[in-house]
Amino acid sequence: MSCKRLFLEGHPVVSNVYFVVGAYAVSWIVLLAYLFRVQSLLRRSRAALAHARSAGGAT
Amino acid sequence: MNTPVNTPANTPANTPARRRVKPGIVAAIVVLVGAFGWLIWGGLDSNVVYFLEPHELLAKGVSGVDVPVRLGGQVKPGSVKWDEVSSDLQFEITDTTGMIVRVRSTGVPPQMFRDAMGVVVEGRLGSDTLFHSTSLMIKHSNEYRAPKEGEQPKEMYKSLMKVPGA
Amino acid sequence: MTSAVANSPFEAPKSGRWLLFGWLAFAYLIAAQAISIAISPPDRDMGDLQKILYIHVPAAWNMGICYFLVAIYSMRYLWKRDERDDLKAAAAAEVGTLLNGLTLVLGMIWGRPTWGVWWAWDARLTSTLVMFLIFAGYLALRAFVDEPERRAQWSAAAGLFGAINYPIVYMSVRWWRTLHQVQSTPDTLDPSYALSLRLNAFAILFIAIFFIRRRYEAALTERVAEHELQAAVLGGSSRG
Repeated sequence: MSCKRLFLEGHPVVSNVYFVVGAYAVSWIVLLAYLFRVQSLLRRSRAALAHARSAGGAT
Repeated sequence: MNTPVNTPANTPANTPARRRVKPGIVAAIVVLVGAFGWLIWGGLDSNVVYFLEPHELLAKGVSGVDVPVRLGGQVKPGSVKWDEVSSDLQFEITDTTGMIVRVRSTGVPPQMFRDAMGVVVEGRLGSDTLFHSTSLMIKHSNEYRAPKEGEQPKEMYKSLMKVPGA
Repeated sequence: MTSAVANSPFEAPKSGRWLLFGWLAFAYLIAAQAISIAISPPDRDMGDLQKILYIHVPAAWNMGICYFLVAIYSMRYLWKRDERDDLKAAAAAEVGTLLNGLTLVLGMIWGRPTWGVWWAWDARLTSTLVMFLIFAGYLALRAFVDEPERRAQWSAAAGLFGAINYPIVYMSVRWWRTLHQVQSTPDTLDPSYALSLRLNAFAILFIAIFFIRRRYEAALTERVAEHELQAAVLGGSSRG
């Protein structure tokens, strides 16, 4: 059923593409931000482990 | 291990097993449990039925008149009247029982508004049996379909949203 | 306990091929998104906006998987008292909260042009927000409590409490009358949409698995470091 749509003429048109691009951008920002967070946590914990082991070896 | 307990090494600060619970945790848990309880027994109760259907609103009779309420249903095909100049929109909402409430709304509706679309309006039912809507929302079905042959999606999904200054 | 050479009760985890797995997961996500956008025509009602489906719904599903893992590991911790289960539950909870937040934000971005509103206090949206807040509280709880055993016990209880919300969130659109529509099924989706949705759901699943593994690895390495440092300091002081 092809329903007749209303009011297409005479109104400013905002493209839906902005919302789609926005949604994908938000997802990528969130995923990449978390990726960096988890990688830096991992680096920090490995540094802590190396420090603990050198402290253990020093005594 | 059996030395007297008065040495500094055995003060509570140096025994890791029994640490005082910080007040922040207690506060956080009270807030969370409280929020959850409020949601389940209080706030959600009024939101469990997000909107009334026309037959439910009409069944309330006088007590349903002039009180803020949400009304939902389907836009009755062929009932839409739109005044381009005054942005005055009138249409009828119907439900599966066939009951009808006439709705008056102003402003450009969301772009998916059309005949037979699900809608939810916020407002009051006037004593003139006309529902005065202050907010119009689309209730989309769970169907996602590609356009049929010959339909022009490019034309169909032009947005109708008004942006300030546009 | 008095042993001078007390080390960590468990080994530091090895990364193995997990980094490669992560690279592949992200590459697969890019491919899945590109294919989905290429093969799916605009929806007849919402046009291009339909493409938000491919991240909103996978985020919501995988949030459920993460919270399910929280429940499993929390119960396992309470049963076996293995600290590693607590750390696994915490990793899954953090990734679940991330996807929960993403689900909410994407839903808002999708709701504004389609429904006409950014937010509606219906049962689905409200319960999803409450679940997000509970797990935000879970993560705050972990940050507040320093003592590992107490933290693990409290967290396990909070994690179970939070995870039981997912079935409520999932069923909310069936149990109650909401603005949010009920779940789509393969019958209500154009075939190209259904295929694209599945491709993307697996992409987010792989990324969630990768995130949980890495987060767990970081937490466990940190605990091993703490154990070894403690052992080193205790050993040093007893000798000195």
